Amino acid sequence: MVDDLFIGTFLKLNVKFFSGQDQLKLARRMHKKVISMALPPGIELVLAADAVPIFLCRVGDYSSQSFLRTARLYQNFVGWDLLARGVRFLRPLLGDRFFSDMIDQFLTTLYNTYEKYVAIAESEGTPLDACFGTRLLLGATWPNLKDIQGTLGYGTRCNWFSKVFEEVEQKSPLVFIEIPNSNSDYAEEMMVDSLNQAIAKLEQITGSTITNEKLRKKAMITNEIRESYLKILEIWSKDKIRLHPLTFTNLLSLLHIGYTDFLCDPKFFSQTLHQLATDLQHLKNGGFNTGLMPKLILVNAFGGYEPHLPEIMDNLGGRLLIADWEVLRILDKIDVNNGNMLQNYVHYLMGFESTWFDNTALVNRYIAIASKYKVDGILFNSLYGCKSITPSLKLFKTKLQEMNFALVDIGFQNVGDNIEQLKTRIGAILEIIREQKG
Amino acid sequence: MNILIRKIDLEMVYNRLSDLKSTGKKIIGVFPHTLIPDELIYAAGAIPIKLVLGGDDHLTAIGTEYLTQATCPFARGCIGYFDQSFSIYSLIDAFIGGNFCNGDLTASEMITKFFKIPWLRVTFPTTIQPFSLIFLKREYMRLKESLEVLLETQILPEDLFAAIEKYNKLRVSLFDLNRLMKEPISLMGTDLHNLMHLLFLLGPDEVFQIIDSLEMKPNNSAVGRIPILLSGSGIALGDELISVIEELNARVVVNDSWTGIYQYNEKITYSSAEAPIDILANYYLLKNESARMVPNVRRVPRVLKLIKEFNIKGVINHILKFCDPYIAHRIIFKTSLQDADIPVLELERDYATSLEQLKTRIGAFLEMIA
Repeated sequence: MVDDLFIGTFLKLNVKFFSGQDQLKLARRMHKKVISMALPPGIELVLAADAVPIFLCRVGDYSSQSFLRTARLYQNFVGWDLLARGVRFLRPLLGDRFFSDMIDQFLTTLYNTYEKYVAIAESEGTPLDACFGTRLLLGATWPNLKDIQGTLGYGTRCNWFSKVFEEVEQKSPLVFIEIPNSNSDYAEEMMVDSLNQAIAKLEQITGSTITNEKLRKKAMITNEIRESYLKILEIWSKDKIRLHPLTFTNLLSLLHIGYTDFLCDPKFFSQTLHQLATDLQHLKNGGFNTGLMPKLILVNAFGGYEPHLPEIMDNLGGRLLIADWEVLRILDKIDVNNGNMLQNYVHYLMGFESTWFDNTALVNRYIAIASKYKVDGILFNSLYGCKSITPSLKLFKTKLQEMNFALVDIGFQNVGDNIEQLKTRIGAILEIIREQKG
Repeated sequence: MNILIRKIDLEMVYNRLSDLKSTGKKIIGVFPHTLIPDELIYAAGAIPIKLVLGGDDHLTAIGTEYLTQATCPFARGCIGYFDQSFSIYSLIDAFIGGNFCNGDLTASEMITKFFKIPWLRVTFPTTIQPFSLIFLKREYMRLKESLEVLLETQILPEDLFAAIEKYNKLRVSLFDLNRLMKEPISLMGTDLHNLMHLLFLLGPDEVFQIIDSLEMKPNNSAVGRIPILLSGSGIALGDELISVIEELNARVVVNDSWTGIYQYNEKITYSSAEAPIDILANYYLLKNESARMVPNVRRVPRVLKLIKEFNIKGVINHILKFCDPYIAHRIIFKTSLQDADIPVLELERDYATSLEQLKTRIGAFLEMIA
C-alpha cells in the first residue's frame, strides 16, 4: 500500500487536498474572490468570474502534519516530480512504517476536522436530525466566513438543502441557482433566467464579467477533467489494477471531494488527473489481482458517509466504488462546440437534476452505473436525516428483486458510529457474494 | 370546553363522498400544503380532497416501512392510511402532489408506485422570482390539461372564474368567523380546526352550510383564556394538539399554518381581463405563505401583523419532527419574535409524543405568560 504514495501524481493530489488554508491565503494575497461550493455544478461560472471555488469541508488545520509542511516546502523549490523521487529515495532510510503512519495520520486529521465542523454546526443551532453532509457544510462555513466572499447555493428537489442556503445567506452573499425538478421545455427557459440572475450576482461579487468565451474556455478544461475522471473509474473496474485496492478507494474518495472545487486549481487538477489516469494504466509487477474480490457501489456518497468504509471494505476483502458524480451526470461533458454557452450550461445542469427527478430515476441510474462497472451489489448508505435519497431504499429493494444484485443497507449519522455493526453487515453481504461467485 | 363544530365523523364523510362518486363525480386527492389551487379541481367538476389524515403513531410506523424514519411523520402517516386501505382514501381516482417538500415528493412516488393511484405531478419553484412565476403558470396549465384528460371534460374560463369567486367568498366568510374570536365568544380554535378539515374533505359547499348554521354567543368560559397564535407545521386531522392547548387556559385564536389562516387570510384579487390560470399562479406564488420558499420573507411580518390584530399574548411554534421548512426557519422565527417581545414556545414533536408531556410543556408556557 505504501508504494502507491510514491506515484508523483497521487502525492500531488494528497498534498493539494490538505492545502485548503494555504489556498485561501493565496487567494487573499492575489486579491481573488473566493466562492464556497457545496456541490460541483456551477463551478464553471465561478471560474469564468475569475473567482476561486473552495469546498470548505476540506479546509482544516493540518499544520501538525510535518510531512505535509516539508512536502509543500520542497515542492516549491524542486517541483512535484523531484519531490516524488526524493520521497522514494528517502523510503529505505525512514522505513515503511513511517509512511503508513503518515497516511493514517492524514486520514485521522481529516476525520477530526469533520468532527470539529459538525460540532460547530450543532453549537450554532443546526439540528442533529439534519443529514451529515449539511451539518458538515454549515459547520465548515461559519468559521471560514472571513475568507469567502460568497456561496453558491442550489434550489433542487431537496427542499432541506435549498433551505440550508437561506441560513447561509444571513451571513454571506448567496449566489442561488434554481434548477427546476422538471424535464419540460419551459423548465429550460426558467433555468436560463435563473442562470442569468446567478451570473449577475457573481459578477457583482467578483467585479469580473462572465463572457461566453470565458465560460467556454473553462468548460473545455473541466471537460478534460471529466474525461480523466471517467477513465480512472473505468480502470477501477478492471480485474488487475496498479494501486492497492484500499488506496484506489481512498483515491476515489479524494476525487469525490476534490471534484467539488477542483482542489482550487482546475489546470493543475486536469493535468494531474490526466497523468494519474496514464500512470494507473501501467501495471507495476503485475499489479493487484482483484478479480475475485466482491465489488460494491456506494449509494450515496455526497450526503456524507462513514469515512472508515473503504478501510472496512478492504479488511473484509471487498472493494468499494464511489461514483456519485457519474451517477448524477456531473461527469457528462458540457457542449463547447455550439455557440451559446449559457444554453449548453443549462442542458448540463438539467441533466444533473434529471438523474434525481424522483427516486425511481435515481435508482435506475445507480443500477445502470453499477452494471457498467460490473459491481456485485449495492452498499446503501441509509444516511440519517436524509429525507430525499434515503427513502429510495424500498424502491431499490423492489427493483433488485428482479435482478442479480445484492444490497446491504447501513446506517450513518456521525463519524465512527456503529463501526462494529458495519463490519458485521458488510461482512455478511460479501460472504454471500463470494458464495454466488463460487 | 364546549365545541360548536363537532369532531369530524369520518364515516359520514365516506358516505357523502361515496354518494357523490356514485353520481359520476371524480375524487381527486391533493397532497396538502399551499401551492395546489383547489379552484382548478373544483372548476373541473371534481371533488378535491386533501390528504389530511394524520396524528396516528401506528400508521406513521407503517409509513416508515416505505419511507424513512427521518421523513416527517405526516408524510409517513399518509402512506400508512393508504397501506391500510383507509375507506376515504380508497375512493380517490387520482391525486396531485409534487416537490413541495421532501415528504410530499417521496410520499407521492410511493403512493403511485405501491397503491397504483395515478399521480398528477406538479413541479413547484423554490424561489419567488418573475421566472418562477412564469414557470408555475405553465405547470398549472399542464395540470389543467391533465385534469381535462382524466376527467374527460373541458375547464372553461367561466368555470374557473366561478370557482375563484366561490373560494374567495369562502375565504371572506372564514376570515370573518376567525375575526369574531377577538372577543370571548363561543367559537374555539378547535371549532375552526374541525371546520377547516371539513373543507379539506368535503369541499366548500358543505362548509358554507355549516358557517350559516353557526350561532355565536358571548361565552364566559372564554373570558380570561390566553389568546395564542399557533404557527409552523400544519395540524393533521386526528392530531389533538389544538384540543390539548384549549384544555388548558388558552384559546388558539389564530392557527397560522396551512391547515388554518393560510387558506383564507387573503382573497384573490384580479381583473376579469386576466387569464384565470395567471390569476391563480399570481395568488398562490406571490402570496405564498409557506416556509418552504427560499428566501422565506413573508412569515415573520405576517405573524407580527396577526399578533397585533388578534391581540395575541404568546406564540407556539409547532415543528413536526423532520418538517424541513420549519426546522430551517426556527432560529430566525424565534429570534425575530423575541426581539419584538413576543413569548415563543418552540414545540418540536412527533405523533408519538404523549399528550400529557405536551400539556406539561404548554401549561408551563401559559403560566409564564399569564
